[in-house]
This record gives sequence, C-alpha cells and structure tokens, in this order.
Amino acid sequence: MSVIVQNEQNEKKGFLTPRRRRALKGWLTGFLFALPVILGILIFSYYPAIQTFFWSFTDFNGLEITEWSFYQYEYMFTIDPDIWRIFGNTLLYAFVSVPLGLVLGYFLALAANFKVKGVPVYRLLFYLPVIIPGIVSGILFSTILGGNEFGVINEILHALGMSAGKNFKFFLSGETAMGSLLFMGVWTVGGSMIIWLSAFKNIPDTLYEAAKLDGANAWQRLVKITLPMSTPMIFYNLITGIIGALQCTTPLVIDAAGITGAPGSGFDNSLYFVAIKIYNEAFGGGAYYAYASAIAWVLFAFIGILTIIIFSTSKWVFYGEED
Amino acid sequence: MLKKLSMLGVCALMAASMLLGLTGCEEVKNPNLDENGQPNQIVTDIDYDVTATLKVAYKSENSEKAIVQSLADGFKKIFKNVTVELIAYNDGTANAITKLYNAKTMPDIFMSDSFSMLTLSAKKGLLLDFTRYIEQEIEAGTFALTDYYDAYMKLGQIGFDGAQCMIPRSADRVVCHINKMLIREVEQETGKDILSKIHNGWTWEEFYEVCDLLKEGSTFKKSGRFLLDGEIKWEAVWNPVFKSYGVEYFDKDGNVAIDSEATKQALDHFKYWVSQGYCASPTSGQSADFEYGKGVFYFNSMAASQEIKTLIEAYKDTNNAFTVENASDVYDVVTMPVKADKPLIGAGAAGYCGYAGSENPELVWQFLKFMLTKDGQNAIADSGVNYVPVRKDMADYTDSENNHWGKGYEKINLQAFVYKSGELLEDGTYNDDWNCNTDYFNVKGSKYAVDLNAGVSTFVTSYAAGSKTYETVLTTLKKTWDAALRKR
Repeated sequence: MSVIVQNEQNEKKGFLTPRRRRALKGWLTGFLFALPVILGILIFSYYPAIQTFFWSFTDFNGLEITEWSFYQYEYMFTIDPDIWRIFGNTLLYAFVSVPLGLVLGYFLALAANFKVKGVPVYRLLFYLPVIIPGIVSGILFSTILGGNEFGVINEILHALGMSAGKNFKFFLSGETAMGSLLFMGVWTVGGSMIIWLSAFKNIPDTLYEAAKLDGANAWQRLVKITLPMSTPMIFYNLITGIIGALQCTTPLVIDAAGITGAPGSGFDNSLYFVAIKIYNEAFGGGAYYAYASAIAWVLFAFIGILTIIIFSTSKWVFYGEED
Repeated sequence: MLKKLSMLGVCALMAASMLLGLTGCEEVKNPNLDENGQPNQIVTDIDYDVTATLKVAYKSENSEKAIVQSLADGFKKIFKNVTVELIAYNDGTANAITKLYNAKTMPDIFMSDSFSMLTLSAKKGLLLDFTRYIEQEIEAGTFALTDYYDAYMKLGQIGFDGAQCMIPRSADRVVCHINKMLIREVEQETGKDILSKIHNGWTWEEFYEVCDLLKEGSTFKKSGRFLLDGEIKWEAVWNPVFKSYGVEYFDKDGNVAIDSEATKQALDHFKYWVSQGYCASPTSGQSADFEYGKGVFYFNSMAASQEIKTLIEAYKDTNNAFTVENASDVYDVVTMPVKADKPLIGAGAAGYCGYAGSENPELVWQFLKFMLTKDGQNAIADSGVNYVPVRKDMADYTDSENNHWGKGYEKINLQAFVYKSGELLEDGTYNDDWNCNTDYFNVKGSKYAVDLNAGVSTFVTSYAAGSKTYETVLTTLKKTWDAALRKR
C-alpha cells in the first residue's frame, strides 16, 4: 500500500514519469531513425542555403568578404543587362514544358491503360528513357540535334541529298533553340505517364460501371470521372514540374551553343536560364559567389511565391469526400 | 511535451545552421603570415638534407601529370629527403583552388594559368609572392631574370607588372599548326607550289594568298570543308590582331575607347576569314577539324608533340598513317600570320603558384626555381610533352642534346614557337619581341579580366559570323562591359 502511495507521489514530483519515459524513448527511437535524413538535410540543404543567404549580402568571391550591403540585389534588378531575358526564358520554358509534359504524359498514360495484349511492353518502352541519366540523354540529344556540332539528323539528311547550306539549326539558332529543347523534354514524358497510371489505378471501377449504367459514353467518363479523380496527381505533377522547370540546367549539359556567349546560354542567350546563370556567375571563372547567391535566393523566393499561388488556387483538386 | 521537445530540436538545429552559415564568412588568421599575407621570414639559404613533404596539385591531365612527375624526380635528386606528393584536380583552376583553400587542404604548389592566378590574387595569404626570393637570389648571383622571356615572366605577375606570383613552366605562344599532307594533295591537283610560300613571320596577305590557292583544290571547294580552325573566340587570337591595328580598349583615364576605325578594321579582318570560306562561321557549329586530319591550319599554342600525337591518332587506320619519326611528312608548324607593319603574336602562360601559408615556402621556391633551370626545363621535355622552354638560352631546338624539347622533332620547324620572341641570337644579343600579352583589362583591375574578355569574345565572334552589324555588336559589348565593371 505504502509503495503504491510512494510511486504516486514520485509520479507527481518527478518530471520523467514512466509514461513520459516510455513516450520519450519512443520519440528518441524515432528521432534516431530519422537522424541520418535530418543530418543530410541540415548539412546539404539548410547549411548551404543559409550560408548563401548571408553571402548574397556581401561581395564574397569564394575567398573573402570586404563589404556587406544589398548591392547584389540592386545590381541584379538595375544593372545586369541579361537578367530579365533570363527570367523570361525560364518562365517561358516552365509555362510551356510543364503543361506539354502533363498533357502528353496524360494521353500516353490513357493509351497505356488500355487492357490489350503487350501493353506492359509499351509501358516499359515509354518509361525506359526516364532511367537514362540526364547527362547521357543530354549528350544523346546533343549528338542527334547538334549542340555545338551539326547532329545526326542533319547528317542523315545530307546522306539523302540535302545540301549543307540547308541544315536544320536546332540549338544553333535563337529561333529554334527553345523549340528544340522543348522537343527534347518530350523524351522523358514516360516519367509522368507512370504517375498518371498509378492515379488511374486508384479510381474505383465501380464509378465507371455506375456511369456506364447511367449511359455515359467514353468522353463523358473521361471528363466526369477520370479527370476529376486525377486532379491530385495533376496538382502534384504541376507543382513538381514547375519547380523542376524553373531550375532547368539542361542547356549546360548539352552545351547548347555557348559559342557566342556564356556556357549553356544558347544561341544569342535564347536558352539562358536562371540556374545556368547562377552556375556561370559562381563557377564561370569570375567567382562571383555573392551575386550567384543573390540570384539563387530570388529564384527561391519566386518559386516559393508561385507555389503558394498554386496552392491557394487549388480548390479544383479533388481529395475525396470528407467525412 | 514532445511537441515542445520537437520544436526545441528544430530551433536548435536552425540555430546551429545559422552559426555554421556564418562561420563560412569568418576569416582565420595565419600566425606565420605578415600583414600582407606573406611569410614572416624569407629564407633562401637552403638545407639540402631537409626532410619534408611538398604537395603539388596539377590539372588532371595525363600530360601534366607526366610533367610534374618528371619535375619531382629531378627535384628529388637535389633534395633527397623531400617527398613530393602529387594531387590532381578536375575543376577549373580558380574553383578548385578556392575549394581546397576553404577546406584548409591547400597544396604547397599548384598549377595555374595567368587568368586564374589573377582571380586568386584577390585573397591575401593565398598566393606566395616570389618577388623577394627572386630579389635575394639575384643579389646572391644565383638567378638572372634576363635568362627568361620577359612576356612570359610578366604573365606570372599580378597585373602583369607587379608581384611575381606564378612561375611559368613553359612559353606558350600561338602558332599555326599545318597539315602538309593536305597541302601536297592540292599542289598535285592544281600543279601550283604552295608549301614554299609558308614561312615563319609570314603576313596575313601571304596567308590569304595561300588560302586562295588551297581553295582551288577540289577538296576545299566543297561546301562544309574549311581550311582553318581559327579559334576566333580566344583572346590570344583576337588580341594581337586588335593591337596590331592599333585598337585601344580603354583610354588612359579608363573610359571605353574601343569604338574606332581601327576596331572596325580588326573586326573586318576576322569577318574576312568567314566570308571567304577559310574558316567556319563561329556560330555555325562547324569547323575545319584540323585535329581529325581534315583542316589545313590550326591556330593554337599546344606543343607540337601533342598535335602530332593527335594527327597520328586521326590517321591511324588510313593509308596515310604515320609515326613520330616521319611526322615531318604530314605535320609542320609556322608562326601565326602577322600584320606586316606591326607584327604581334598572342602569348599565354601556364605555370605553378605557391601557397603563401605553406609550411615550407622556401622549398616551394626551390621547387619552382628548379623548374626554371635547364635541368628542370629538360625534365618537362623528357616527360614526352615538348613545351617550349621559358629560357631564352634554350631556344635552339636543333641542339637537342642540350635542349631536349627538340629531341625527336628536329625536322619540325619548332623555331615558330620562339621566332622573334626575344630569343638569344648567335652574336649574343636578343632579337625583337613579337609576343603580345592580353593585358588591356589591367586599366580596370585584374578581377574584371574574365568578364571583360568574355564581352570581347562575343563582340568578335558575333560580328565575324556576319549576321550582326558593327553598331549592334558594339552596343552589346558596351552594355556587357558596363555590367561587368559594376560587379562586386
């Protein structure tokens, strides 16, 4: 009896009661399991991010800091002659490539969702390009279309009798470079196809059966069932696609005609994207780490605002019926 | 409680990140360095039995590795107890060294080029200034600056006229590499003598005459075949031409002065190469493919041995396969063409810098001093790459017993690399110096070198391509320069 009373008294007095101790042990175990990821994020994401934030208010050149000011931001918006073009290019690429990828991926998934013989093989073939590393596919397209050299397509056309003067320029013209890059993006549309397919699989068959009984045709089933039920996936693809496109560095990989300008900037800066600008400023020889950091933070802020806008207008996304 | 603990943990981690972020901005003082970031003490009296380790970083290329290894082997014969450890780096020099410096894993010696050296000179305590070592050696009578080509030593100086922070390992001058076999084919076809018109010191007019003769051959009449890989984008090509025409980039007060008749003439010079079909348009993505055995001329500063190796590789499975021994049947080299009334040729330098914070700065100097000796320069050639010695007294490549850079290449016109570059003549005097450094940006400060040069490269290539007017490219250049000069 006295032991029970004593325990109760201890429980009231002590901070680490057995229940709390058990909970803390559980919390610590969970924390230890998550620790590698937490450390990874801290060391490889937060630490560099915070460091670049400080650098963006300095004149850091990789070696020393001699002043603290807002100059890098002032320089970006009032002096840099390329910056608006660069942001324009990046936005254009994001706003064309993302919907293009979504729509093509969607229709590809619809086609790959038919229950006919051999469909798994087609799915595999469509998805295969996604597992090819970006560097490899960059070199591949650089060879096919021509980055700094005329590529395989022109070589084939020459063999068929086309004269050298009528070469398709692809990345070697300001007018065709962006189109060529967008065409290149179609190569990995199998990635979003797989996500669409998983979304389709989650739509209950009963919905389609009920719609059929009500007399809905294929188009009506697509518009009234498949599309609304896929909106969470559309939303996810939209967010990740836009973030990815705004950080695009593909022209660097394919060495797209940096013949007359900075590496990866494309012909007449036609493919000069923000992420490439960041790379060139920091590592292009001038070591303008502070300016590169400032651009990176503006890009981060821009992506953040855009993501908030997309989230705030996401009423069209169907998350299932709430209880 | 757990929520509070989690929040506390997140806050602690964020605070730790903030602190870590700030530490990156913190400067650490090295007690061995004075207020100028140089060693407190200069020692030139050296103990040859000293036991130490020297770390030497080189740009990760097999040829450079062979050069450093050969130098290390030679150095070990003098300093028997010194271990030389080689470290390769893959990135661009300035980036690689910045990373090593920030990681506090700096080598004692590292390879660099002039522009990277200028970029790195922004940091006190990074580059070892050899000036005081040189002065003391000169005073002791163990070193003479007159032994070396002035242009290349200057390229190792801050602002190309100040503290000696890089020691050039070789005299890298732009030359015109030639594919003699292709010329002979045209000679046979047209019956015209072409090879005899090519000689050291030839002018642009003579060069164009040869190009026109070569264009008469059926091979080079074809669309898509070009004679010259002109490297129009490279400052070592455009700068001497600009200087020859009298182009002024900035006036004495630092104002932009590039808009002139001389500039138009210099630009037209490059446009002429493209319009006549000698050289592919720099924006076309095409080239003459000299290194694939398809082009006749190549303006480059690469060692003859390297170009010969490349051509041997290009022809190895063809009827025209050749070896180093009979390379002179296929390959030769002459000076880059010059403007008759003001001959100038682009000169560049790759070399080695020392780390000011090294524990053995005197050994660093001794290693680089060895590199400058005849033994050191021969050690470079013995590695298989016949870069041109920076010593004037080693200019005679036909004396290959003493000057190894000519060994095995006696039939090649290696004189092109040193022709009129201040080399020692038979009468004991030195000849004219046609070498031309790219140094116009020093008016504004060397930190702007990379961006200013990039602007001029775009200026030249865009105009030479033929699609843009002089006014358009000039406006772009001015905007680019303005932005570059306002960078911090």
